[in-house]
Amino acid sequence: MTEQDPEARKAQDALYRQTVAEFGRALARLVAATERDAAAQHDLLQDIHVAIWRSFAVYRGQCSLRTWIYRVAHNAAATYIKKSIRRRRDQLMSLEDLERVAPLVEAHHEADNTETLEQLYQLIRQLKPIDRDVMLLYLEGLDADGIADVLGISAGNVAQKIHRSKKLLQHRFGK
Amino acid sequence: MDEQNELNFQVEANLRAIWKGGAVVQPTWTPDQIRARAAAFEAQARRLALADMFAFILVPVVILAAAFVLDLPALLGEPYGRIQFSGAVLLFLCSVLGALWSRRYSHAAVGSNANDLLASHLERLARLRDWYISTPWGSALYLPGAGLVMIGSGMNPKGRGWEMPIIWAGVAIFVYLASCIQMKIKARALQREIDSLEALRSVSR
Repeated sequence: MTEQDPEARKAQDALYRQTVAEFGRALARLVAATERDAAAQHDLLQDIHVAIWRSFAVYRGQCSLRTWIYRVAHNAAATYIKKSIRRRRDQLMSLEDLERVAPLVEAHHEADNTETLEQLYQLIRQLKPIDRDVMLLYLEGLDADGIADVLGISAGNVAQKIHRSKKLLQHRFGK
Repeated sequence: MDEQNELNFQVEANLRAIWKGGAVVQPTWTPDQIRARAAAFEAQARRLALADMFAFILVPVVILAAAFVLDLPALLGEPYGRIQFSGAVLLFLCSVLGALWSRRYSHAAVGSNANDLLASHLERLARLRDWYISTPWGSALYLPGAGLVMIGSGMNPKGRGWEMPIIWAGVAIFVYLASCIQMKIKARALQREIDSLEALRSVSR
């Protein structure tokens, strides 16, 4: 282990508790949108928590805690997706491709919230990593600059992708 | 148009509310549980790195063991035996280099994981590309050793002559060239992916 000093260890634990309180639900949503299987969701969420906990050993306030958490969590999810694609040979699509494809499940006019949420998860799971991350962070309420900070792509490109994400959401859930 | 914008706004607000309000399974772990899991993860990573190293060393160790089984002192007394032994030593040295290289590679794979997503993704892709590029060179290091073992085997008066070494050399060269081409194609595909991702960094609208 890299962290042994008791003071640093205490700080690391405190930061972890703060993270769980502030971002616990967002992390669970990220996992639900990444993996369908409940048991795998549990493992992935635990892996993300471990990755975040380990990353605190080198966190010195280089960026906001929110940006840091999203970076580490999305990195862990991206690694997981890469592995699971190799296993299942899933075909992921870009926002542009998905706009052209007819929805797998037709959105019902009277679909209840649970159904809509499941359709949303299903849509996100089909997206390629960067597009998926933009969509997830956009739904979490981050603006283009915040998303650019997490992903490391230009705010202009993020704005373009947000525009496409909105169009896709409108197309799938607008009626 | 205003009606359309209004609809967009409503859909967006509604989806965000559903997204944030939806039920999610949220197990909780204490810092101690997470610390224990992290320790287990690091121990597993160390075990995998060790297994990689042993895998590299195993092949020449088997070759050297075979040389002893074949009565090494007697072998060293003959010119063909000395050539075979030199080849086995070369193979052994190459695999030690390979083990050190793989150890360095697996160490590089353990990072803080806190770069921005694109940087981490590019780092992973670049590492994989470098691996594809360097593997043919690394494998080429084994060729002289393997060549000497085959020449020695061909020169062995008690052996079956040159037929088998020539067949094995042909197979080895074919497999080597095929894997070189495959690695080159994979490295190029990765480079294309890296270039397209690098383009996302530029400010373009």
